[in-house]
Amino acid sequence: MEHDIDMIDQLIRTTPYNKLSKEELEIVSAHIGSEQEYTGLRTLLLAASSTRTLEVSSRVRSDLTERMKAKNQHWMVSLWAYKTPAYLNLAVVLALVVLTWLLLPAREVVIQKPIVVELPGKTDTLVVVSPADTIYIDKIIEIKVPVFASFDSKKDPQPSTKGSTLADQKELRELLARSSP
Amino acid sequence: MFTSYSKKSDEQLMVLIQGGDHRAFQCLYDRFAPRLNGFFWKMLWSDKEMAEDFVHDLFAKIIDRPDLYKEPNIVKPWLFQIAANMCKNAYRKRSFETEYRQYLEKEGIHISGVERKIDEQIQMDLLTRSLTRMDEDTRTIFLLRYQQDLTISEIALSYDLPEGTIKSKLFHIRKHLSEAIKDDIKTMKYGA
Repeated sequence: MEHDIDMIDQLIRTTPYNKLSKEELEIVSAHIGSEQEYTGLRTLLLAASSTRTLEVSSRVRSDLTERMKAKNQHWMVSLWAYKTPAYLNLAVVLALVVLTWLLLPAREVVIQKPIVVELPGKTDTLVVVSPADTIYIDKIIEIKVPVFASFDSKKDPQPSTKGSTLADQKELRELLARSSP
Repeated sequence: MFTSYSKKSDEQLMVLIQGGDHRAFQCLYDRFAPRLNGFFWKMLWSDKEMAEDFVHDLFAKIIDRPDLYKEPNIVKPWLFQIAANMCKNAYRKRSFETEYRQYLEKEGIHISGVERKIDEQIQMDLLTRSLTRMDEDTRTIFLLRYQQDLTISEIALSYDLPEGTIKSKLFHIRKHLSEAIKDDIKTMKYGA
């Protein structure tokens, strides 16, 4: 029985009933049976053999290759490429911000106050130029005033203030001043 | 070191995989994924998506636990052993057997009558029908042997059983199939 298994299987799969030799026919009739049984069994085994392989979609291969690469990469690389959900990343970032805020020394708040600085006083010249809008025309009035000089040899001449008002005296002084070189 | 991966044996590739070589993994995947997919497909209700998921899970298991492979062992029967165990778990978890039978009854899969020629569809009907008649272990051994062309010694390694036991099982499977076909011929006039 045992030594025939391989041989009979091979026979069934390779040879149709009508191509069997006399010796093979004897084996078939002893172990399998009639032509119809042999043909049925042959059909069955050929059908099984025809489904031997079935293509797998490329997605499975690429997915597994990535998995293999990820498993065997250096721990530094795997740490770097570690995938985390977006919500977790956001939570970590928020936690870091809060921690940084809490742990770092508080910064001085600079309040800007208006500073009054008393500068030493300084006098400067301010020239204001404005166009002339009024024209003054100087009027020179020449008045000829007769001056009488009398000399008294006996008496020292005394200035007489008789008949001369203060206004006349002022006018006289001005006249004298103007006429002086 | 510079030998092409395609020239390396399955066992050498598996050792490289244990060392984290992803190219060796790709090479082993390319060798076995289509075969395992075909096996899962017939074992799991001819469901392509489920078969692919199982292929994915099997290779993911190899990535996660490459240490499960012990070096002197042969890779091919080891892989199919894992695959067979995965199918067993699937059957248990989802009462797959019952579901599968109900599905076939509902779909009315049948062997064609006398007027139809033996074409691919008939072959598939016959195969599907025969697989439904088998119990879990028988179906697995049948597919490993006649679909995946594993040798008796490889199947024995997969099941961790003596070769003689596997031969005996195969003999009974063939006998059972032969009788089932005889019944079909009687009841449905198949092969006329």
